[in-house]
Amino acid sequence: MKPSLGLAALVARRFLSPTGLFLIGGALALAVTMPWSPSAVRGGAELSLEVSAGLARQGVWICALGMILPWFAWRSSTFVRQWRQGESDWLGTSALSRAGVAWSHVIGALFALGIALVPFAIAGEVRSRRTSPQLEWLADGAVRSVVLMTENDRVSLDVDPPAAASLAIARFVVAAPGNGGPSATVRCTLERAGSATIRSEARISNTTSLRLELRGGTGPLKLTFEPVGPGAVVVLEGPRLQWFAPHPARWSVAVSLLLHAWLAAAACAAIALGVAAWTSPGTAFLFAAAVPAIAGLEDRASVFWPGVGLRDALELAGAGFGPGYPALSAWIGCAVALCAAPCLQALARDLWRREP
Amino acid sequence: MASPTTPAIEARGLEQSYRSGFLWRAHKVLHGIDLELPRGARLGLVGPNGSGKSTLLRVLAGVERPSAGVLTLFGGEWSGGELRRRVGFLPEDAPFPRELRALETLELLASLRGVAKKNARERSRELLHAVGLESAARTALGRFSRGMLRRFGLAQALVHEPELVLLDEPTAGLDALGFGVFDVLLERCRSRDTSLVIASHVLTDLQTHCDQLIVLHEGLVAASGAPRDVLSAENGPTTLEFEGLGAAEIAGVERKIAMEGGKVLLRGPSPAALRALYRRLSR
Repeated sequence: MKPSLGLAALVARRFLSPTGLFLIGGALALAVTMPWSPSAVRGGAELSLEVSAGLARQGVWICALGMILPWFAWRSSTFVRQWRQGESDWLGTSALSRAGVAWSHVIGALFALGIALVPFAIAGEVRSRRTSPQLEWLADGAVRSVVLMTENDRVSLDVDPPAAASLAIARFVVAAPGNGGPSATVRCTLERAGSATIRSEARISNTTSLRLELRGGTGPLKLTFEPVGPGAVVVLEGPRLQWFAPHPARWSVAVSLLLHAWLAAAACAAIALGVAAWTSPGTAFLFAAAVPAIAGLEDRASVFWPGVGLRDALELAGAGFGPGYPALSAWIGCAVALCAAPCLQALARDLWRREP
Repeated sequence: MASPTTPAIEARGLEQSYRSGFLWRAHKVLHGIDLELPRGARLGLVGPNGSGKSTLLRVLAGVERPSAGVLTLFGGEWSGGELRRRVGFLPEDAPFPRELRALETLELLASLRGVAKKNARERSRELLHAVGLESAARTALGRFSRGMLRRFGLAQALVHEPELVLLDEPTAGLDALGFGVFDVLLERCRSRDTSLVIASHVLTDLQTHCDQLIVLHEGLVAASGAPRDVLSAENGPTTLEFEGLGAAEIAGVERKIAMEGGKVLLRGPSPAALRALYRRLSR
């Protein structure tokens, strides 16, 4: 199973062939020249500096992934055909096992991906004028949807903040439905053992995200919502409550987006490489492209698919937040995909065979 | 542990088949080959196109898994990684990475076959010199001519100093100098007591370099034995190569042949004459 670094270097070179470099260079040129955060994007409203920078980062990364993901998945899926069309004559006579050859390809793909993605991380920071977001995502919590109809309606929810966070900010979405109709005032109260009670009142119309800062304390906390005075219906939109940490490190957004993209692209490339041992390159490519869609349908499985983390990270970046580093589940999912490629290759008995 | 008398190759009932087509039907290419090659022996394979020579070599090289039969190399399991280091293979085509330079490729192939990194460069340089490609060491293989690729193929088959060398059409596409290189390399193999299997359509290659010959026909061993015995059985045209005679003496030999009832089909200088011409021109 021992891989060859020389072979991995050759594979990396093939990913970064003149065609690959042309595609990556084209995507980079597009990423640095396109206007990613025009005011028209948000209905002409003035954007905050963080949101504007976030939209620029998001645009650069979408541009990068639109080119790099298909290229790496396609190139991976064609390697086996290349082996079968003659390269088996020197690969098959090496002291490497077939799985070792596949491992070398996986390592080469990871290395090439790193080289291909770093320029986009730098471009993202250049386009965002190195404006760091004020908040960085920590974790998601779950809240149920609640409708507050009258002044006396009041709802209390018990929620668990992230374990490690002594200082965190909760963000949740409330709405006063009515399509530009009446607005409403809602009072939110945050109570936690060992901490002072925090109260906040906000006048809301349509959909508004509210933020509450948690300062110290231990254990679960109690979140209370109540409409203040006569007004419109207030809806607390579940299921998502997000926790953020203030003041992320300067390069953390670029690094976290790079890691999210790297994991997702590596998983796609590995799946294409593994499946190609059993099918044609076209089918392997389609399979690698379909996996993210299938993973997105199943909630429990999707946390392990790095692409889901990437999607959420891009959403958060576009909203002007730091997306946070990939979760452990995404690393596990990527590792499983990377290990699956050599296993599928090793199981294919006719790996080196060339049709007469 | 295999003893020194263990054959380099021992094959019993070796079969190979491919599946193809809509119904995935099996097409048998080798129909039960029995083969034994002692260490240091040189075996030639000859046969019409599609007789299974290249397939047999690919199976022996470990590139393909035999469908049935028993194959041992140096007394061990044919697929073992350690054994692969003892086998060198020149494939029929030149499927080497075209984007890499000759020296880089040779170093990569040497390292894939277990040569330590510090020795790989030294051996690669030495082999490129031996095949006359030292001036093209930094040229990408994609820019090599067919003959140069063939010479490079010979170098890569020997770069890890294998104990068994399998050569598929080694002289196809070689120029006169390439023939000289080929002869020198095979002489080197002989001096190291390397076992050799050559598949070729060029009978002079087989007669000169092999002490056993197998004729394959439709995936079966149709005949085997010493090259002279196998080929003379047909009583067909014979090639006679000699040197040191002038035109008058050659005319005398031709008359003698005619008197014996034979006929000279071709008369001309041998490849060695062309080689001498190239050497003179390059000087």
